[in-house]
Amino acid sequence: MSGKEAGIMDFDSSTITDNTLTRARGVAHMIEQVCRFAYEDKRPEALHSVQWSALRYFSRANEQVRTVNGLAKFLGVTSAPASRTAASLVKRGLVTMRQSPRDARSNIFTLTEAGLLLLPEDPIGKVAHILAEMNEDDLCRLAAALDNVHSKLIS
Amino acid sequence: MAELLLIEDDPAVAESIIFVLENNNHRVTHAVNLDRMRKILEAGQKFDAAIVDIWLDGEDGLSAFSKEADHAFITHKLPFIVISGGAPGKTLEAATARADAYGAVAMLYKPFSDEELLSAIDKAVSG
Repeated sequence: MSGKEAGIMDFDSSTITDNTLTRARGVAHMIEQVCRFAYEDKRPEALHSVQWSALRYFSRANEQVRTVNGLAKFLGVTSAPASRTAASLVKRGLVTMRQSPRDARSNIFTLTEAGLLLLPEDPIGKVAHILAEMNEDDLCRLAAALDNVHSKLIS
Repeated sequence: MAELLLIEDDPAVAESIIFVLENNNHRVTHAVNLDRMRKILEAGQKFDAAIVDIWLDGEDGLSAFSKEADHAFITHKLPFIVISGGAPGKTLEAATARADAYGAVAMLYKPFSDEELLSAIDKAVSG
């Protein structure tokens, strides 16, 4: 099966049969369930998915962009929600905040030791380890198919 | 020294990247878009790694490096670094996921430091 064939949204909608649509709906539910199970930890101290996103961003972004504006661009939100998310990580002791030496109006966020220790527990890591068991061709095809779905959803 | 292919549509960004890389003994060939990149590769020029801006003018830079790309036979084995400063309606989070999923050696968020760029080049070239 080629990557194109794997991308169910490549089909002309007028040719989609009921069987195909049912099958596609099942796959869509599977994607939803994978996402839901990934973030199944409902303890009060558990991070929300957007907080995990912010923690990941602060762990891999360079110092110049580890700011509220950088996080806002990363998440695709305005600076207010990005600021609240960053502040929530500071409050939990997972990141520190200090004034930027380049811009006094901007703060730089850096992971604390607690933040670094938490990273290996990233819920996405569990899913990644399961996916890593697939052979590379299957993984590439899955990536292409999900990329196709994602690009059509946001267009 | 490494032979590097830079795919970047912003002339100012391209100029600063080329300046840093050439000052560190690398050779850089610049393509302003994917069409130019394909012509360079089809001409037979060999590279050790590529640096690609994910959102070129109206083009998806990363698409050239996917296994399903029409020129995958050229680019699939070329280690590549993705750079991005974001784009309207696109999140860097989605760009990062795509870069990781398509096998990028590193994802650099603009503006990045010279050291970060050079470290990513070392990683790409050393395999």
